[in-house]
Amino acid sequence: MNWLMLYLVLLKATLSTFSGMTSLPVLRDELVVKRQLISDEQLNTAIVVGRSTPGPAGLHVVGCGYFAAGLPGALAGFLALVTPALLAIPLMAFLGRRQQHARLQSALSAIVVASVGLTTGTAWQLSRSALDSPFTWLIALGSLATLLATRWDTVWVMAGAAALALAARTIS
Amino acid sequence: MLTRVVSLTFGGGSAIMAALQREMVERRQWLTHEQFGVCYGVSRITPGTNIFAFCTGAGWIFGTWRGALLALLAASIPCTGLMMLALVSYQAASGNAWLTAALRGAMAAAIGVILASIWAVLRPYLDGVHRHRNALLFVASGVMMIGLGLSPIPILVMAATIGFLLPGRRPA
Repeated sequence: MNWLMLYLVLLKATLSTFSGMTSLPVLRDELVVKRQLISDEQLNTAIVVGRSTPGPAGLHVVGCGYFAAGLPGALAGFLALVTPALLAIPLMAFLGRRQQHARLQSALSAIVVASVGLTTGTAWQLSRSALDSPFTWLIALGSLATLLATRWDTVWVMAGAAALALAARTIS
Repeated sequence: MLTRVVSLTFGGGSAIMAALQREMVERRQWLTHEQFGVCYGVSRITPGTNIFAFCTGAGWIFGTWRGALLALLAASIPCTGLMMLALVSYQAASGNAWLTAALRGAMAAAIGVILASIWAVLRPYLDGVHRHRNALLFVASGVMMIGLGLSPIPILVMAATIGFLLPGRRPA
Protein backbone atom coordinates (compact mmCIF):
# COMPACT_ATOMS: atom_id res chain seq x y z
CA MET A 1 0.00 0.00 0.00
CA ASN A 2 1.43 3.41 -0.88
CA TRP A 3 1.67 6.02 1.82
CA LEU A 4 -1.01 8.27 0.31
CA MET A 5 -3.55 5.45 0.48
CA LEU A 6 -2.40 4.66 4.01
CA TYR A 7 -2.83 8.35 4.91
CA LEU A 8 -6.42 8.26 3.61
CA VAL A 9 -7.18 5.08 5.56
CA LEU A 10 -5.75 6.54 8.78
CA LEU A 11 -7.50 9.85 8.10
CA LYS A 12 -10.79 7.95 7.88
CA ALA A 13 -10.08 6.69 11.41
CA THR A 14 -9.18 10.10 12.86
CA LEU A 15 -11.98 11.97 11.08
CA SER A 16 -14.65 9.61 12.37
CA THR A 17 -13.80 10.09 16.07
CA PHE A 18 -14.02 12.78 18.72
CA SER A 19 -11.48 11.46 21.24
CA GLY A 20 -8.19 9.56 21.05
CA MET A 21 -9.07 5.96 21.86
CA THR A 22 -12.28 5.94 19.82
CA SER A 23 -10.29 5.68 16.58
CA LEU A 24 -9.50 2.05 17.52
CA PRO A 25 -12.58 0.41 15.93
CA VAL A 26 -11.95 1.97 12.50
CA LEU A 27 -8.18 1.34 12.75
CA ARG A 28 -8.70 -2.32 13.58
CA ASP A 29 -11.41 -2.74 10.95
CA GLU A 30 -9.26 -1.19 8.19
CA LEU A 31 -5.71 -2.26 9.09
CA VAL A 32 -6.18 -5.61 10.86
CA VAL A 33 -9.41 -7.10 9.48
CA LYS A 34 -9.85 -5.78 5.91
CA ARG A 35 -6.29 -5.07 4.71
CA GLN A 36 -4.26 -7.23 7.13
CA LEU A 37 -1.43 -4.67 7.19
CA ILE A 38 -0.82 -5.05 10.93
CA SER A 39 -1.67 -7.66 13.56
CA ASP A 40 -3.73 -7.29 16.73
CA GLU A 41 -0.47 -7.55 18.66
CA GLN A 42 1.04 -4.64 16.73
CA LEU A 43 -2.11 -2.58 17.27
CA ASN A 44 -1.90 -3.33 20.99
CA THR A 45 1.81 -2.43 21.02
CA ALA A 46 1.03 0.91 19.36
CA ILE A 47 -1.54 1.56 22.10
CA VAL A 48 0.87 0.57 24.88
CA VAL A 49 3.68 2.79 23.55
CA GLY A 50 1.27 5.64 22.78
CA ARG A 51 -0.12 5.58 26.31
CA SER A 52 3.29 5.13 27.93
CA THR A 53 4.68 8.37 26.52
CA PRO A 54 3.43 11.87 27.32
CA GLY A 55 0.95 13.62 25.05
CA PRO A 56 -2.64 13.10 23.91
CA ALA A 57 -4.24 9.65 23.71
CA GLY A 58 -4.50 9.44 19.91
CA LEU A 59 -0.78 8.98 19.17
CA HIS A 60 -1.22 5.24 18.51
CA VAL A 61 -2.36 6.24 14.97
CA VAL A 62 1.28 7.14 14.20
CA GLY A 63 2.43 3.78 15.60
CA CYS A 64 -0.12 1.96 13.43
CA GLY A 65 1.21 3.79 10.36
CA TYR A 66 4.75 2.84 11.36
CA PHE A 67 3.89 -0.85 11.73
CA ALA A 68 2.03 -0.80 8.40
CA ALA A 69 4.71 0.93 6.27
CA GLY A 70 7.77 1.96 8.30
CA LEU A 71 8.79 5.61 8.58
CA PRO A 72 6.72 6.79 5.56
CA GLY A 73 3.77 5.10 7.26
CA ALA A 74 4.56 6.95 10.50
CA LEU A 75 4.59 10.23 8.54
CA ALA A 76 1.23 9.29 7.00
CA GLY A 77 -0.04 8.57 10.52
CA PHE A 78 1.23 11.91 11.80
CA LEU A 79 -0.45 13.79 8.94
CA ALA A 80 -3.68 11.85 9.50
CA LEU A 81 -3.47 12.73 13.20
CA VAL A 82 -3.10 16.49 12.70
CA THR A 83 -5.25 17.03 9.58
CA PRO A 84 -8.63 17.00 11.38
CA ALA A 85 -7.38 19.72 13.76
CA LEU A 86 -7.23 22.10 10.78
CA LEU A 87 -11.04 21.94 10.72
CA ALA A 88 -10.90 23.97 13.95
CA ILE A 89 -9.98 27.03 11.85
CA PRO A 90 -13.28 27.32 9.93
CA LEU A 91 -15.12 26.09 13.01
CA MET A 92 -13.62 28.94 15.08
CA ALA A 93 -14.91 31.38 12.48
CA PHE A 94 -18.37 29.92 11.87
CA LEU A 95 -19.41 27.32 14.43
CA GLY A 96 -17.93 28.91 17.56
CA ARG A 97 -21.12 30.92 18.01
CA ARG A 98 -23.43 28.01 17.18
CA GLN A 99 -21.99 25.44 19.58
CA GLN A 100 -25.11 25.63 21.76
CA HIS A 101 -27.35 24.49 18.86
CA ALA A 102 -29.46 21.67 20.34
CA ARG A 103 -29.58 19.35 17.32
CA LEU A 104 -25.85 19.73 16.63
CA GLN A 105 -25.01 18.98 20.26
CA SER A 106 -27.35 16.01 20.30
CA ALA A 107 -25.83 14.54 17.12
CA LEU A 108 -22.33 15.00 18.56
CA SER A 109 -23.22 13.37 21.87
CA ALA A 110 -24.78 10.44 19.98
CA ILE A 111 -21.57 10.05 17.96
CA VAL A 112 -19.45 10.11 21.13
CA VAL A 113 -21.65 7.48 22.83
CA ALA A 114 -21.66 5.24 19.74
CA SER A 115 -17.87 5.65 19.45
CA VAL A 116 -17.51 4.48 23.04
CA GLY A 117 -19.73 1.46 22.27
CA LEU A 118 -17.52 0.63 19.28
CA THR A 119 -14.38 1.06 21.39
CA THR A 120 -15.82 -1.40 23.93
CA GLY A 121 -16.30 -3.91 21.11
CA THR A 122 -12.73 -3.34 19.97
CA ALA A 123 -11.41 -3.80 23.52
CA TRP A 124 -13.22 -7.15 23.56
CA GLN A 125 -11.56 -8.16 20.28
CA LEU A 126 -8.11 -7.01 21.45
CA SER A 127 -8.52 -8.85 24.74
CA ARG A 128 -8.54 -12.18 22.87
CA SER A 129 -4.86 -11.76 21.97
CA ALA A 130 -3.74 -9.76 25.02
CA LEU A 131 -5.48 -11.77 27.75
CA ASP A 132 -4.31 -15.33 27.25
CA SER A 133 -4.01 -16.55 30.85
CA PRO A 134 -5.58 -16.01 34.29
CA PHE A 135 -2.52 -13.87 35.16
CA THR A 136 -3.08 -11.42 32.29
CA TRP A 137 -6.82 -11.26 33.09
CA LEU A 138 -5.87 -10.40 36.67
CA ILE A 139 -3.55 -7.63 35.48
CA ALA A 140 -6.24 -6.18 33.17
CA LEU A 141 -8.92 -6.20 35.89
CA GLY A 142 -6.46 -4.89 38.49
CA SER A 143 -5.46 -2.04 36.17
CA LEU A 144 -9.11 -1.16 35.52
CA ALA A 145 -9.93 -1.19 39.25
CA THR A 146 -6.84 0.91 40.07
CA LEU A 147 -7.66 3.53 37.44
CA LEU A 148 -11.31 3.75 38.55
CA ALA A 149 -10.47 3.94 42.26
CA THR A 150 -7.41 6.22 42.23
CA ARG A 151 -6.02 9.23 40.39
CA TRP A 152 -2.86 7.39 39.36
CA ASP A 153 -1.50 8.18 35.94
CA THR A 154 -1.92 5.45 33.32
CA VAL A 155 1.85 5.31 32.76
CA TRP A 156 2.41 4.15 36.38
CA VAL A 157 -0.32 1.53 36.10
CA MET A 158 1.26 0.14 32.92
CA ALA A 159 4.73 0.28 34.45
CA GLY A 160 3.40 -1.58 37.49
CA ALA A 161 1.84 -4.22 35.24
CA ALA A 162 5.12 -4.63 33.35
CA ALA A 163 7.01 -4.96 36.68
CA LEU A 164 4.50 -7.60 37.86
CA ALA A 165 4.96 -9.57 34.63
CA LEU A 166 8.75 -9.38 35.05
CA ALA A 167 8.46 -10.56 38.65
CA ALA A 168 6.25 -13.46 37.56
CA ARG A 169 8.81 -14.45 34.92
CA THR A 170 11.61 -14.33 37.49
CA ILE A 171 9.68 -16.54 39.91
CA SER A 172 8.68 -19.08 37.25
CA MET B 1 4.67 26.69 26.14
CA LEU B 2 2.36 24.48 24.00
CA THR B 3 5.27 22.15 23.22
CA ARG B 4 6.16 21.84 26.90
CA VAL B 5 2.63 21.29 28.22
CA VAL B 6 1.36 18.96 25.46
CA SER B 7 4.56 16.94 25.09
CA LEU B 8 5.50 16.54 28.73
CA THR B 9 2.12 15.99 30.39
CA PHE B 10 1.17 12.39 31.11
CA GLY B 11 -2.45 11.34 31.48
CA GLY B 12 -3.99 12.16 28.10
CA GLY B 13 -6.42 14.85 26.98
CA SER B 14 -8.11 15.77 30.26
CA ALA B 15 -4.81 16.26 32.10
CA ILE B 16 -3.36 18.30 29.23
CA MET B 17 -6.49 20.47 28.95
CA ALA B 18 -6.32 21.20 32.70
CA ALA B 19 -2.62 22.11 32.40
CA LEU B 20 -3.33 24.37 29.38
CA GLN B 21 -6.11 26.12 31.29
CA ARG B 22 -3.74 26.80 34.21
CA GLU B 23 -0.97 28.09 31.93
CA MET B 24 -2.93 30.06 29.32
CA VAL B 25 -5.73 31.54 31.42
CA GLU B 26 -4.65 31.67 35.06
CA ARG B 27 -0.86 31.98 34.96
CA ARG B 28 -0.01 33.81 31.71
CA GLN B 29 -3.46 35.32 30.97
CA TRP B 30 -2.97 34.80 27.23
CA LEU B 31 -6.64 33.83 26.89
CA THR B 32 -9.72 35.05 28.74
CA HIS B 33 -12.05 32.48 30.31
CA GLU B 34 -14.49 33.20 27.46
CA GLN B 35 -11.85 32.65 24.74
CA PHE B 36 -10.73 29.44 26.44
CA GLY B 37 -14.38 28.29 26.53
CA VAL B 38 -14.82 28.95 22.79
CA CYS B 39 -11.61 27.03 21.96
CA TYR B 40 -12.70 24.19 24.23
CA GLY B 41 -16.16 24.06 22.66
CA VAL B 42 -14.73 24.07 19.14
CA SER B 43 -12.23 21.33 20.09
CA ARG B 44 -15.15 19.17 21.26
CA ILE B 45 -16.95 19.45 17.93
CA THR B 46 -13.82 19.02 15.78
CA PRO B 47 -13.11 15.40 14.76
CA GLY B 48 -9.81 13.84 15.80
CA THR B 49 -7.65 14.61 18.82
CA ASN B 50 -9.29 17.34 20.93
CA ILE B 51 -6.00 18.78 22.22
CA PHE B 52 -4.66 19.45 18.72
CA ALA B 53 -7.93 21.12 17.72
CA PHE B 54 -7.81 23.22 20.90
CA CYS B 55 -4.24 24.38 20.19
CA THR B 56 -5.18 25.19 16.58
CA GLY B 57 -8.12 27.27 17.82
CA ALA B 58 -5.98 29.09 20.40
CA GLY B 59 -3.35 29.74 17.74
CA TRP B 60 -6.08 31.21 15.51
CA ILE B 61 -6.92 33.74 18.24
CA PHE B 62 -3.25 34.78 18.51
CA GLY B 63 -2.38 35.02 14.83
CA THR B 64 -5.14 33.75 12.49
CA TRP B 65 -4.08 30.92 10.16
CA ARG B 66 -0.33 31.34 10.72
CA GLY B 67 -0.78 31.21 14.48
CA ALA B 68 -3.10 28.21 14.13
CA LEU B 69 -0.61 26.28 12.00
CA LEU B 70 2.33 27.15 14.26
CA ALA B 71 0.41 26.14 17.37
CA LEU B 72 -0.67 22.84 15.79
CA LEU B 73 2.89 21.95 14.78
CA ALA B 74 4.34 23.04 18.15
CA ALA B 75 1.83 20.87 19.95
CA SER B 76 2.01 17.79 17.73
CA ILE B 77 5.59 17.27 16.49
CA PRO B 78 7.49 16.88 19.80
CA CYS B 79 5.08 14.39 21.43
CA THR B 80 4.91 12.37 18.19
CA GLY B 81 8.73 12.36 18.05
CA LEU B 82 8.92 11.08 21.64
CA MET B 83 6.40 8.36 20.87
CA MET B 84 8.29 7.29 17.73
CA LEU B 85 11.56 7.19 19.69
CA ALA B 86 9.92 4.87 22.23
CA LEU B 87 8.44 2.70 19.45
CA VAL B 88 11.74 2.35 17.57
CA SER B 89 13.56 1.56 20.84
CA TYR B 90 10.96 -1.10 21.53
CA GLN B 91 11.48 -2.62 18.07
CA ALA B 92 15.26 -2.60 18.47
CA ALA B 93 14.91 -4.57 21.69
CA SER B 94 12.16 -6.93 20.47
CA GLY B 95 13.06 -10.58 20.87
CA ASN B 96 14.49 -9.87 24.31
CA ALA B 97 12.70 -12.29 26.64
CA TRP B 98 12.55 -9.83 29.53
CA LEU B 99 11.12 -7.09 27.33
CA THR B 100 8.57 -9.52 25.89
CA ALA B 101 7.48 -10.48 29.41
CA ALA B 102 7.21 -6.83 30.49
CA LEU B 103 5.27 -5.93 27.36
CA ARG B 104 2.89 -8.84 27.92
CA GLY B 105 2.02 -7.32 31.30
CA ALA B 106 1.71 -3.82 29.82
CA MET B 107 -0.56 -5.08 27.01
CA ALA B 108 -2.87 -6.72 29.53
CA ALA B 109 -2.92 -3.45 31.48
CA ALA B 110 -3.74 -1.59 28.23
CA ILE B 111 -7.08 -3.42 28.09
CA GLY B 112 -7.82 -2.09 31.59
CA VAL B 113 -6.70 1.39 30.50
CA ILE B 114 -9.05 1.31 27.48
CA LEU B 115 -11.98 0.18 29.65
CA ALA B 116 -11.27 2.92 32.23
CA SER B 117 -11.08 5.48 29.42
CA ILE B 118 -14.41 4.19 28.06
CA TRP B 119 -16.06 4.67 31.45
CA ALA B 120 -14.59 8.18 31.88
CA VAL B 121 -15.99 9.28 28.50
CA LEU B 122 -19.33 7.49 28.84
CA ARG B 123 -20.27 8.40 32.42
CA PRO B 124 -21.42 12.02 31.81
CA TYR B 125 -23.66 10.83 28.96
CA LEU B 126 -25.53 8.44 31.26
CA ASP B 127 -26.99 11.37 33.24
CA GLY B 128 -29.72 13.73 32.12
CA VAL B 129 -32.83 13.44 29.97
CA HIS B 130 -31.28 11.30 27.23
CA ARG B 131 -29.56 8.72 29.44
CA HIS B 132 -31.81 5.90 28.18
CA ARG B 133 -31.21 6.83 24.54
CA ASN B 134 -27.46 7.05 25.17
CA ALA B 135 -27.34 3.72 27.03
CA LEU B 136 -29.23 2.09 24.15
CA LEU B 137 -26.90 3.67 21.56
CA PHE B 138 -23.85 2.49 23.52
CA VAL B 139 -25.03 -1.13 23.72
CA ALA B 140 -26.45 -1.19 20.17
CA SER B 141 -23.19 0.13 18.67
CA GLY B 142 -21.09 -2.56 20.32
CA VAL B 143 -23.58 -5.31 19.41
CA MET B 144 -23.82 -4.16 15.79
CA MET B 145 -20.04 -4.29 15.45
CA ILE B 146 -19.37 -7.53 17.33
CA GLY B 147 -22.62 -9.40 16.70
CA LEU B 148 -23.57 -8.25 13.19
CA GLY B 149 -20.07 -7.47 11.90
CA LEU B 150 -21.01 -3.96 10.69
CA SER B 151 -18.11 -1.58 10.08
CA PRO B 152 -17.84 1.49 12.38
CA ILE B 153 -18.65 4.27 9.87
CA PRO B 154 -22.30 3.27 9.11
CA ILE B 155 -22.87 2.81 12.84
CA LEU B 156 -21.57 6.32 13.55
CA VAL B 157 -23.69 7.80 10.73
CA MET B 158 -26.75 6.07 12.16
CA ALA B 159 -25.93 7.41 15.65
CA ALA B 160 -25.49 10.96 14.32
CA THR B 161 -28.85 10.74 12.52
CA ILE B 162 -30.62 9.53 15.66
CA GLY B 163 -28.95 12.27 17.70
CA PHE B 164 -29.97 14.94 15.18
CA LEU B 165 -33.58 13.74 15.08
CA LEU B 166 -33.84 13.41 18.88
CA PRO B 167 -32.13 16.56 20.17
CA GLY B 168 -31.06 16.68 23.80
CA ARG B 169 -28.62 18.54 25.96
CA ARG B 170 -24.98 17.59 26.00
CA PRO B 171 -23.32 17.23 29.42
CA ALA B 172 -21.03 20.07 30.46
